[in-house]
Amino acid sequence: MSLTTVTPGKRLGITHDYSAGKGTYVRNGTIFATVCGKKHIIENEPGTLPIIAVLGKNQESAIPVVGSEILGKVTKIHAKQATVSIMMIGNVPCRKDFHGIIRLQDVRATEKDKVKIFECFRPGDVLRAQIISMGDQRSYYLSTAKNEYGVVFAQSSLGNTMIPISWNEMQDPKTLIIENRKCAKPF
Amino acid sequence: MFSSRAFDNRLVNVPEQSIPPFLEEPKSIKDSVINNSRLDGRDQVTPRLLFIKTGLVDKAHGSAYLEQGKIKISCAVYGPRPVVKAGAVISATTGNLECEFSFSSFSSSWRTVKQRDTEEKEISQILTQALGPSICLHMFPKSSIDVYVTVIESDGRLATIAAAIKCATIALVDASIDMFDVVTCVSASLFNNSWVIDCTQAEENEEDSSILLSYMVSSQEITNVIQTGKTSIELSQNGLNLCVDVGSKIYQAMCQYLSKSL
Amino acid sequence: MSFSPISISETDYISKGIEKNFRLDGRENLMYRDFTVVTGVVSQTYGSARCRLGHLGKGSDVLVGIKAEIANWTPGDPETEAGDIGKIVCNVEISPIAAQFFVGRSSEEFALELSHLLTRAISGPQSGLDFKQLCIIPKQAYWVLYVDALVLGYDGNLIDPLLYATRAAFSDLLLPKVIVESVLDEDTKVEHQAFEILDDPSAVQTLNGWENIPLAATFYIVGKRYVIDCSVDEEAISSARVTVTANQNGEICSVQKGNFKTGLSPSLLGEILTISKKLLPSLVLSQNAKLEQLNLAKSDSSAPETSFTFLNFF
Repeated sequence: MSLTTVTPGKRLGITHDYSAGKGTYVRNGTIFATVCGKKHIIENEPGTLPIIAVLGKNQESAIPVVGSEILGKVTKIHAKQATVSIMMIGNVPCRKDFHGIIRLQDVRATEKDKVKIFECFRPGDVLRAQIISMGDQRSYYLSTAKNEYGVVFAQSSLGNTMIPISWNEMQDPKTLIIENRKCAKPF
Repeated sequence: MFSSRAFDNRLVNVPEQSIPPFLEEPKSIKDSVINNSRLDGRDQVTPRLLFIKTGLVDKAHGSAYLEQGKIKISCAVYGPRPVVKAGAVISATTGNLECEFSFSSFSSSWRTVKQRDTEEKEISQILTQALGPSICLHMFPKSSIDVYVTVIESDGRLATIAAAIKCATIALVDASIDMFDVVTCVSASLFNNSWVIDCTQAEENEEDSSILLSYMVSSQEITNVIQTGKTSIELSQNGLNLCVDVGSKIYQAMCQYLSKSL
Repeated sequence: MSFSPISISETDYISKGIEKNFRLDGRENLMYRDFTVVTGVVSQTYGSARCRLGHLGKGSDVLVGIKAEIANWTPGDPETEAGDIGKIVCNVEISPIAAQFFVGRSSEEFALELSHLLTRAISGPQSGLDFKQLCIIPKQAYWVLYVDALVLGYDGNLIDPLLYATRAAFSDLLLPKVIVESVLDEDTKVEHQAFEILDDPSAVQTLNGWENIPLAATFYIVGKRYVIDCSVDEEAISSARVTVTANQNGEICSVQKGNFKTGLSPSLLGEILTISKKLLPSLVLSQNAKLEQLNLAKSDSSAPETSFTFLNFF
């Protein structure tokens, strides 16, 4: 069945028969499209209304949303925070990197007052974190205070990719030097 | 140090002031328009034919190229991306829309580089006001959508602005940015008591009044209207209604292209 | 365009009041505050006026000064291409005295928008001014009138007092008379025109057609209703703005929409046009009456305008 292509502003249905999904908006009880793409009608659980969604041809770009998981790269570290350049939100890459910061108290869940940023992150590390707030004018606030969040990829000072050996240590396989990082649980 | 990037006008011996050669005096355009026999054969209420193509600028998130008669406009859209403009208010609930409009120096019959600045800023503001109500800015908090429009050739000041607004909307749709509706824009000029749609520069030079109307057809909302020149209420109303009608037809043409381009 | 944030409860309070045709200061939706105008306040200009909309100390305050300079005609300018007309250049600046958030460069964009609005309203045949009078020697020299507006107080709605003060300034405008004569150039034996400005302070001319300058009515859309002459809080909650200018004959001279939060429906625009046709001619007549009064008061005293009069009103 060929799906019809719709343009923004095109009337799709009424809220009585369908519920609004991705790429649509509701006004006065009618569902309209917001992007140009193919109209999909997705069946839901029995008893609930089917969902109308419009999927565009371009991959939508991601916007940081509170609670979403992000993948980013550490760009700067200070005594009280680490600056992260957010590259992916969930599974969707960002068109242009957003800025986030991880404050001292958000690095880990236990012993928050004994955290030293230099022993948790270094510039160039790729980490997984969660957005906890919209933050201030310049950046979003991130947190790595769970087991599954933290550094996923890092290079040692000699340039070799390191392997995590515990929750706060990573080891360079060639030189066997151990460096401190706040690691994410690999599985 | 000699910088190859900055071209310094003082070093080149150009004359202080130069004018293009005068061609023969054009005959009276006004009479031919009133008599419904315009130079390019259209009648009073037909706009020039549109040619649209999207995706020409690779690096941009969305882009469009539009030709309408002699008018040629290219538009690139970037976004949503972090706000870079200095001094812009960054809101945690809505996004920002920044439009930048520029004429290329060879776009009109006179080469004017210096005087263009204020005019370009004015038209950038008109663009922002025409496109703003149509974008779902509440879905892009703390982000900015940047629209850059370049006029390659212009033919009629208001007609060029109308074409720029249409081109920018198509580029926004090409960038998959959530919008409430597609914005269509129509320009019209008043000659004596009749409104004439989409005038060329020669026709606009002799107009009495003009209207520039940006309209969202599906939501039935006027996003921007600028009318200059003396008219009566009835003539104004007639002109606005005519623009709304022609706008609906142009809207259908734009949506037709957009559906086919996918 | 408003800069100050406003709370949800305030927004609700104001918009519910507007629905019942009752605003914060007790006015109805379509009522103006009082206009106060004084002319001839800046001595270095050829014409000037100051207008306040609202009460003493609280209200929107605009000062307009007109300076005239003589420009040489060049063929490149599309506006004066015909060679037999003069030009008007408008510029609006917002002083930080007006409101605290105008300090620094934050007012630039807003001021630019107001400049363009003023230009569209009065520069062109719709203003009814006699541009041909501004031409001194065809295709050679013409008057350029620089209309500079300075916003000194801001309480919402800057556009209406802006045009009010501009019209009053044009009523006060006195251009020096110019004598044009043919001069024979000794070297080339070619006859060309030359002009001379008369030094006599009493040899002045008013600009014809200033009575035809339009006045503005700015409608701010709040929800489904519209209000005229809003205050700062009402402007913060409004979603769209339409400025209609019309002259004393009820002819519409320009229609401009600003503020891009939402659009407006065509029927609402039609309603607004009809209402402005009724409102604006009466506003023009009341301004004419005020300017008449000022003229009578001035012609009585031979002393120049002093700052006492300036401060007395403002």
